[in-house]
Amino acid sequence: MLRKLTTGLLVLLFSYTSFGKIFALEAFKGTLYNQPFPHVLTTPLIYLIPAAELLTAIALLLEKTRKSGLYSALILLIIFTLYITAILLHLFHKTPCSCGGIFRDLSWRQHLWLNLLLTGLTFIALFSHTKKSIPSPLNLHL
Amino acid sequence: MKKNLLLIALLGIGAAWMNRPLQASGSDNIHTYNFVSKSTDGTKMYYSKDLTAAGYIKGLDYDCSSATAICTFMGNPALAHFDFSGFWFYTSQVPVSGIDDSGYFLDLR
Repeated sequence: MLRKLTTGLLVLLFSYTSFGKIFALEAFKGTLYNQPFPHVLTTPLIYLIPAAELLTAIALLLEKTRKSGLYSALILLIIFTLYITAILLHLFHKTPCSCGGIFRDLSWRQHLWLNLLLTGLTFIALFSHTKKSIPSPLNLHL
Repeated sequence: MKKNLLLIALLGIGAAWMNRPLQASGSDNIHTYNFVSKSTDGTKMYYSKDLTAAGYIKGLDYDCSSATAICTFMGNPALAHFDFSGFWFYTSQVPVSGIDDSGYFLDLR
């Protein structure tokens, strides 16, 4: 049940965030240019981030690739969580905005809590998915 | 593919479409900016836009302390307008001040 709910939540999250960026690529570009990493990284990230999010959403939609989708979602969430943590620890020379879609009103701290919750849920969903895919000796038809 | 998951994905796409920045009518007069952050005392706002790509001439229409095409500007939050497309300013209110990459404010007026 929790696995299904988490998968649904992740499909909603990644379809929203990927298309949110695709529909407003210029605004997303501006957001990226204000992040505290070298501008040389910005151009590839403008396309790589929405593409990764879109592929994750598609992978989660398909039964065959759902496990890969959960792994991909977990990796993306962990990367973003680490980035937020670095911002909150003031490891960068400036604090960028936390703007983006319907999450623009959230502070970095709220973002962190949301991400930790989603990362935890994804981890549980992935664990239960892995557990489900291992055939139980009781179910083997000899 | 499960139908309910597909519906959820469509819901996400629909939400993204509804939340997309709207094209301002009369774009010659109105220019949108990507809101970045507000100073702690709330008197200054940092935002950015590739003004050169938007057709503005550096040194004539705008200026900034950084020599790159992407400049970070500082504006008065009292002049900002907000709607579903985000924060925006009238072009007459485009400021001519900027901050450099290290965050120091430089008034170029």
